[in-house]
Amino acid sequence: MTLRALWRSRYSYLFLLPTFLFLGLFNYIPAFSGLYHAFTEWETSSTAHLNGLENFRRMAQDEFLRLSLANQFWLLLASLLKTLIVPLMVAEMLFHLRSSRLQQILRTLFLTPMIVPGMVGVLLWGFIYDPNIGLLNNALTAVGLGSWNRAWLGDWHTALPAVIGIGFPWAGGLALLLYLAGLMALPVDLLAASSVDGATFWQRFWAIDIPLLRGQMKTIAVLTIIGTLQDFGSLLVLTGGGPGLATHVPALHMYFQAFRFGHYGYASAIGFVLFLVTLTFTIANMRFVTANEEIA
Amino acid sequence: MLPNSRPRKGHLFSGMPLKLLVILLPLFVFMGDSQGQPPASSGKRQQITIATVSSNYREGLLKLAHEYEVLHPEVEVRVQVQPTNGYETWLRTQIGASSDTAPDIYNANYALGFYERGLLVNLTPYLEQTNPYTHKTWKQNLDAQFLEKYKIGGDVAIIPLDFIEIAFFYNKDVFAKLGLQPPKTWEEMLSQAERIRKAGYIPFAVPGDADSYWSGTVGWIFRFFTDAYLRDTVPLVMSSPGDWDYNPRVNDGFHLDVTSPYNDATLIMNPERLIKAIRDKQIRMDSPRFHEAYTKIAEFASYWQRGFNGTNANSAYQLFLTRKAAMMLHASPTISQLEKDQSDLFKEDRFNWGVFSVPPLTQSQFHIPPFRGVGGAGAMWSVVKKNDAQTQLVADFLMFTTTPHAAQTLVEEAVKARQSINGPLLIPGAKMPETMARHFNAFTNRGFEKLSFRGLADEQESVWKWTVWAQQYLDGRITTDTCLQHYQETMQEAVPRVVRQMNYDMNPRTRDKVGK
Repeated sequence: MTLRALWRSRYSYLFLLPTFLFLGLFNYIPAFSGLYHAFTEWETSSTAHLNGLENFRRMAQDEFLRLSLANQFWLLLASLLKTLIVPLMVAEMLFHLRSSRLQQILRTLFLTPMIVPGMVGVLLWGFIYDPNIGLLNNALTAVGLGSWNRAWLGDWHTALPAVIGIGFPWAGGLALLLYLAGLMALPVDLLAASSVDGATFWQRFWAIDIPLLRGQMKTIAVLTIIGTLQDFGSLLVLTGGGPGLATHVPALHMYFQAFRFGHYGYASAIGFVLFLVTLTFTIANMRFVTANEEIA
Repeated sequence: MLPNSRPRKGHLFSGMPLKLLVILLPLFVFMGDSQGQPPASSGKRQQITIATVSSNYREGLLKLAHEYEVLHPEVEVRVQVQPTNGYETWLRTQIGASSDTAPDIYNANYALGFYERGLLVNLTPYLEQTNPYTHKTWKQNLDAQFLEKYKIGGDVAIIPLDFIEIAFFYNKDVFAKLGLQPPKTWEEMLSQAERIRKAGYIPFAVPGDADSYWSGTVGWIFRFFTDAYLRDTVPLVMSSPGDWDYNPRVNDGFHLDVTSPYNDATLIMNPERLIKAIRDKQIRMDSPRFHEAYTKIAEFASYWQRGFNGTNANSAYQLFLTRKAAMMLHASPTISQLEKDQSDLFKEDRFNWGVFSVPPLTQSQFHIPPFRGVGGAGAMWSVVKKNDAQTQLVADFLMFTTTPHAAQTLVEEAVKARQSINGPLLIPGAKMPETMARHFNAFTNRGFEKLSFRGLADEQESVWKWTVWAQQYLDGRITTDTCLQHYQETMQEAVPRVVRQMNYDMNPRTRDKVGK
C-alpha cells in the first residue's frame, strides 16, 4: 500500500485506530505480559524478577492442581457432548417441522434465553440446587421422592454432575444457531436427490447432514474447548471449587493463586500452560476435522 | 471487492467524517459517564473516599459526610458501599495497583497484612492529638482495650468502630414444647440436640460453604475450640523481655489464669515467636489436643443439617427462620435482622426466640477453660498511605466520625433505615436500642480468642488448603488423623510464605522493616 493510498483512506484508519489501541491495551498487552510473567516470581506488592522454569516445576508438584485435572477432563467431555449433540438434535427437529410458522416460534423460544446474562442463569441454578430451599429438592419431595434429596452442590458424589447439569436441557445457545444456519444452507438439489432415492431420515442424517455440518461442529468444538478451559466464574460463584476439591479446576486454581493468594507469577504460569493446552486441543481439532473432510 | 465499490469522495468516509465525529463525540462522553465514571469535578479541592462493606451504616455515613462537608466546604466526602463478596479482592487490586487511586478509608478486617507491607498509615501519633470536635485527645473517644487488641507490631493502624460477637440463637417455642432450657454445658447442648432431632427438627442450621470455613460459622467454631485448647500455649508466643515489641507495663509479670477470659486480653504476642513455634513444631496440629478438639467438632457437626457443606449462610438462616431448625450459631447483627424478618412474616409463622452464650465444655482429658468470643470489632477503619496532607485530612475526618454524636447518628440512622446493628458502638456515649441491648447480654463478658487456628495467621493459601481438608473431615470422608496430618503439612509449608509476606527476619528481638 502506498502512502498516497494510506492518506486517501486516512479517516477510515482514524476511526479504526481506537479499536486497535484498546485491543492492544486490554487484550494483547496483558496476554503477552502474562506470558512474560510466567517466568517470574511476582508476589503482591513486590516487583517481578525472572526465575526461569521455577513456576513450572512448582506446577508439576502442585497436588491440588493435579487433582483438579480430573474434574477438568469430565467437565470438558460433558461440555463437548452437551454442545455438539443436543443442539444438533434440536436443530434437526426444528428444521424438519412442516409448519414454518411453528418453526419460527420455536426457534425464537429456543434462542431468546441467549439474551439473559450467563451469570444470571448460573445463580438461578444455584437456587435450584439449594439443599434446603431449592426447587429441585422441593419438587422431588412434592412428588414423593423426598429420599432423593441431596445437597447437590455440597455432596462429593453429586457436586460435579450438578455443575454439568447446569443449563439443562442444553438445547439453546450459539450451537443451535450455527446448526440451524448450517442445515438451512444445505444444497437443495442434494436433499431432493436423497428424497428421490428414498433415503430415510437417519440415512440422510448420517450421509448428508453430518458430513456437511462438520464445519459448524468444528467451530462449536473449538469454542467449547476454549470456553470450558477458561471458565471458572460459574464454579467460583456456585461452589468455590468445593466441597473440598470436588469441583476445582485449573482455571479456578489460577484465579485463586493470583487474586486470593497474590502469587501472580505462578498464576501466569498456569495461564500460560492453559493457553498451550487450549491451543493444542484447537489445532488437533482443526486438523482432525479437515483430514476427515479431505477423506470424504 | 468490486472495482467500483471503493468509497468515493463525497461518501461517508471521505466527506462526512468530521461531521460524524462531532455528532458522535458527545455520545462517547455520555457513554463514559454512564459506565460509572466519576462526575465532573465538584470544584472542591480536597476529597476523602470511604469504601466500606458496612452497608448498615450507609445512611449514617452519608449524613456524617454531609455534616463534615458543611463544616469544611472545601472537602468532598464520598461514601462508597461495596459488596462483601469480592471486597477483599477489589481492595487488593485497588491498593496493589496504586495507593493514589485507592480509597482513603476502608474496612481493615478484609485485607490483613497491608500495614506490614507499608501501605497503611500508622495512626498512633494522631491518637495523642486533640480531637477538635470533642476537645479531648482522640484516644479518649475510642475504646482503649480494642485499640490495644488490634495493634499491629505495637502500632495503631486500625480504628475499631463497633463490637460484634457470636452466640446461639434458639427457637423458644421448640424448646418449650420439648421442655428444654438453654443449656449450661456443651454436653447438655448436644444431648438436647439429640432430643430435638428425634422430635423431627434439625438441631443446628450451619452453613458449610468455603466462605463459612473462612469467615463464617464453621470458621468461628474452629476458632473458639482451638483458642480454648491452646490457652496454655499463650506464654510460649507472648512478647518476652528483649523482644522489640516487649512492653513491661503489659507483659511483665503475666501469669496464665485460664479461669479469667480476659487474662491475656491485652497481652502482646510476638508474631515471629508464633511462626517460630509452628516452624519448630512446638505447636503441632497433629497433637492430642487438636485431636480431641477436632473430634468434638465432628461430633457437633453430626447434629447439623444434612448437606451442610453445600449450604450457604442465607440458606442456613432460612432453616431457622422457617422453624425447620431449632438453633443456629450466629453473630450479634442477627438480632436486628431476625426482628426485622419476624415482623415481615405472617403472624402464624412468627415464633419466640432467644439467645444463649456458647456453653462451656466440661468433659475432656485436658483442662479446657470456657469458650471465649471470636468476635471483636465489626467495622474497623484503616487509612491508606498517600501523602501527609491527605493523611491529616483523613485523620481529621475519622476524628469527626468517632465522636459520641457521630456514633449516635450511625445507630439512629441504621435503625431508621431498618438496617442491622453489629453490636454496641466502641465509642463512649452512644446508646443502643433497648431490644438490642437486652439480647446482647449473651454476647458479652466472654473474653476474646488469643491463639486460634484455621490456616496460619490468616494467610489465604493455608486457609484455603485447611478448608479443603476440614470440609472432607466434617463430611466423614477422612479420619481425624489424616485431616490433622494434612493440616500439619499445610502449616509447615505456609511458614516460609508468611515469613516472606511479612518480611520477618525470624528474630523476635529486631523490628522488621515493613513495606519492602
